[in-house]
Amino acid sequence: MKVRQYYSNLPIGRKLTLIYFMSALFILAVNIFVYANVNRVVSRLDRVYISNINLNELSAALDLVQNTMKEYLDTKATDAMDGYYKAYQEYDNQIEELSDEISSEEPKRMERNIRHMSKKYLLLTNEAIEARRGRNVEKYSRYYDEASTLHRYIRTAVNSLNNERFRSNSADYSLLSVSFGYVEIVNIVVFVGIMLINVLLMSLIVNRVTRPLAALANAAEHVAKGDYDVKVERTGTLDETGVLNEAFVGMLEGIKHGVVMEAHLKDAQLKFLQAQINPHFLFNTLNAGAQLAMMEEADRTYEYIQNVADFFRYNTKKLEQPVTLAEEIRMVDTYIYIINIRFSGEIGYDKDIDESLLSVTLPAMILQPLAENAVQHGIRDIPGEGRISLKVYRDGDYCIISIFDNGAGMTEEEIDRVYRGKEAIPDSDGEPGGVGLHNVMGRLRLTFDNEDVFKVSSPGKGQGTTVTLKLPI
Amino acid sequence: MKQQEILTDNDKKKTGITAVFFIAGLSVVLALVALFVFRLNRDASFDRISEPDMKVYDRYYAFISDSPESSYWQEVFDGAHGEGELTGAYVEEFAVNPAAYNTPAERVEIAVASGVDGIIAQGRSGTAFKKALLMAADEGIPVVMAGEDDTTSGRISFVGVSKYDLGTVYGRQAAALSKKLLSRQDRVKVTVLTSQGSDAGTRNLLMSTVREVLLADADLTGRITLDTYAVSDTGTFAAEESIKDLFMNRENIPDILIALNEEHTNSAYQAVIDYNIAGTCNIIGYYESDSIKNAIENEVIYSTVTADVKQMGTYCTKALDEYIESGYVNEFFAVDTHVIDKESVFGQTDTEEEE
Repeated sequence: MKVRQYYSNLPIGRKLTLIYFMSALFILAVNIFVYANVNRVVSRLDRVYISNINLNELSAALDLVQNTMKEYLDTKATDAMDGYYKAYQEYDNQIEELSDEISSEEPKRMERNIRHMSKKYLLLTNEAIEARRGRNVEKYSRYYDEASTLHRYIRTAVNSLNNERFRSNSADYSLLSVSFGYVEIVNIVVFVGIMLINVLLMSLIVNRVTRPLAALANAAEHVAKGDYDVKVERTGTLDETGVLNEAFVGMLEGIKHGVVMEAHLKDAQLKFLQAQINPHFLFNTLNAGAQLAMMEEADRTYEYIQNVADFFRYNTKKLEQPVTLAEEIRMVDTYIYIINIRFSGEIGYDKDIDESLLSVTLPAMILQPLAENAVQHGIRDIPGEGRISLKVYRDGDYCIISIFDNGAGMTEEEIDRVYRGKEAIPDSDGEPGGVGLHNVMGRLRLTFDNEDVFKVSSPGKGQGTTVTLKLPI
Repeated sequence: MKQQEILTDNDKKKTGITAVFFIAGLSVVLALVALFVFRLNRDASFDRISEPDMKVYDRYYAFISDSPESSYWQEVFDGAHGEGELTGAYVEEFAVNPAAYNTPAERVEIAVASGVDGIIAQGRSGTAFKKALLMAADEGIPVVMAGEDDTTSGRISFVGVSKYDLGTVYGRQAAALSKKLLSRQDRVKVTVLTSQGSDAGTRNLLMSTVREVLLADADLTGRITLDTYAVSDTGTFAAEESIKDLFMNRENIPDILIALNEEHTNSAYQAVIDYNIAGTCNIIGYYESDSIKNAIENEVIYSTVTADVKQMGTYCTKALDEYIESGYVNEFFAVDTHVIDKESVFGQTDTEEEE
């Protein structure tokens, strides 16, 4: 298992080298096996005729004994005597190598007979030499004759055995030749077989290496066609394909994330485009109204119209770009001013702002929708004075923004619905619903990649609602 | 839907991989089988070459006959060899390989020099042969003679047919045939073929027995002429030529020709065919080779007397074994004889066994 894991984690280059090495090793092993077989047959072929060679040597040694004996008998020379004893020793050694068994195999029996005859022959030659040294002419002549007869018999027997051996060795040779031919055929079959197996194994292993890449390519094709739900199996390995796989999975997650963000933005933009029909027109007409009020020196009217114009100007800004907290707060101020003029100062609005946090950036159109929501759903229909409190303060590395209203409050269920994107529908009085709480929450979460960035809390019905934003600084 | 497609692709790959594994596995198995078969075959070849089933014996007997190629002596040899196989003695047709170079006497000498434990020799005359046998006796190598006996050769025992028994059987066959012939003619001439070199004593014993049997029959008295013809067997084809010489003079052609060995029987049979005198000259032969049996069927040979040849070989080995083990052995082992003629359809008509 560990080996498998180790192999899986190897880089592709190493993997391929390892595969090649194993394949080469495999073929090498087969080669060695085949070579050993061939070698064995060849060495056996080499040894086939060795028995003939030995017999030829035996025959030569026998003749040497006979010749040196005759030479000594003829000349009585010391050299001849030395020659005889050397030849005697040599021949005696050689016949010791012959079989002495009464075997069912004829060659073995022939060896035994040659051995016995040779022993007797050597005795006779010795007797002849001794008789010659003792100058016993009658004796050495008789021993010489007897030895010569025996020499002839031994020669004949050795020749006969040699022929027999040659016949049997030739048969062995033929058999081995056939065997050798067979070895050749088997070698070819083995090599072809091994080659095929090797190719198959290689393709199998290479396929295993490249399969994750193919799967990845397949997934990429799906993604290219816009299918982000394609399932990519994680290889779990640490090699290049594993890394690529992980990167692809991560990239796919990122793309999915971006697509959702874009969808929310589009939603928001759509809402605002709807809304901008009025603001653009209103913005222009309000500017005209403001100028008119100024000319008539109606300062409050001028201020009111100017605020309304500011409000709509902000709305016409591009929403993709982040804005500062100061701009957002100003937008809330404008909104509250307009609402108060509209509802004759019914809404109390107080702020507690940590000035150092005014430059914190956040997506546009976040706080105004929250304030609008507090007005629309919180304090609009309550009997007493409605009040909205905006607080901005630091909490560690976070900038906390809370918008409190003392309005209708929310039950847990209602809060839960907000979180799930099913907050109250636009107001019944036909005003545009503005940007919904869910939209705000979605954009904040996508921007800051944090679930806790948006929080709604309320002690209960009639006890007000607080929306808290927790932005990283 | 797309995920399903991917899964299907995976399935296809799995099937492909399984197929590849299967083929690879099959190839490996095939390769291993091929290697195994090759190894088995090669080892078998090597075994055949290097070590045949060899048997080692305790004793070694030389079997020396004049004509090892004849089926008669081949059968004797088979008997001796077969008995040896049972008792642990290897009986070899000695020094027949360079046959052209070695006379029987030389073969005995080679056997003696080779230190054999015993010699089974076809009985024959000749001083060189006798000298060689005596040399074997000097060396302490026991010799058993088969077929023919020579009591002066120093042999320890003789295995063969009793000449008296053989003479009786031949005599009875000759008498029966003579009676048939005498129904058509007045006299019958019986000629017995003898070997020039055969022992005179045994030859005379046989002849006298045949004569005795013929004379004992009152119907044949005075109507039978019995003589011998010495066949020369010095040299190849000498016997056949010698027998043909007998037929050169048509007046010499016998009515009944008695052959005492396989070679003479075959030679006589050929001569009768060659001279086209079948029916005129009736052969009473020896031994039962296929050609002799055919000749009986064709009525060229009247009948043949045969010894239990295999038994002869068996007794030879037994005699040597007994002598080597105990130092003593019977001087004579008699083997069974049978007569084969057309009427008996190769049946057994006479059995005699004595030791």
